[in-house]
Amino acid sequence: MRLKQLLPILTALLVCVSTAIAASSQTQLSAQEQKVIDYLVKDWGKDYSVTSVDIAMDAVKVAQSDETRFRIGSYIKAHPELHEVIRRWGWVTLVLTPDEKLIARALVNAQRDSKPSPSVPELAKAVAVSEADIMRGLAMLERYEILEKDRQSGGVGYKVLQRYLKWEPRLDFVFHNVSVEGGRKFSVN
Amino acid sequence: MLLVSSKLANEKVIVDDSSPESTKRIRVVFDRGKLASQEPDSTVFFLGGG
Repeated sequence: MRLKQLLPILTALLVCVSTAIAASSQTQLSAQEQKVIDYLVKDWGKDYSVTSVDIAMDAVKVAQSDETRFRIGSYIKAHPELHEVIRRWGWVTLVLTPDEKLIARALVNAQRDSKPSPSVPELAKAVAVSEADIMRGLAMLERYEILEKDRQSGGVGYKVLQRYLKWEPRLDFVFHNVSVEGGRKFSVN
Repeated sequence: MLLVSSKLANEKVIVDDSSPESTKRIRVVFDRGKLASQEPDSTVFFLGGG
């Protein structure tokens, strides 16, 4: 094969390697973030647990922030080898908060029914949170590549990616959060 | 529910959930294995099992 023919292949290979290196460097965790992962890996599977990142952050007293949650969530997304629970139920249900799951479901339901996406005020009413929380939730769902901007969708201007329109047998946007009075909090499948 | 009636049967347990078909939140409270309260009132709760 001539060099001219090899060039596009080599360029594509280089792009792939660069992307992999970039993705890997993005998921380097701090000690605090690693503590959350360690907690989850120990918790998952116990009593049907599919505990999510936000609950684990509270359990190990790591301050809640979207950025920290996204970093930990991205790590879980990139490392299904960490635990069978990730492989069995999917990373989505483990990394999103209940609010984000409900926002996603409102958009999924509209899209499945071929209706325009709801507006921000409509979402805020449906999910019973503030409009600011809706904007934060939409941003998080976009960062995880569950939603993508689409002006034709109407409303909030996002569409749900095909993979997430039908999430079974994964759990994706389902939550069952259990709080034992004075004790453990966890999510179950 | 299995947990509430077995391992957590002596505990007060709150389950935060949601309607599968909409975005409505559901909260059910169990006290020592028995249903204590539910929100919203329209929540349908099935008791069963073998």
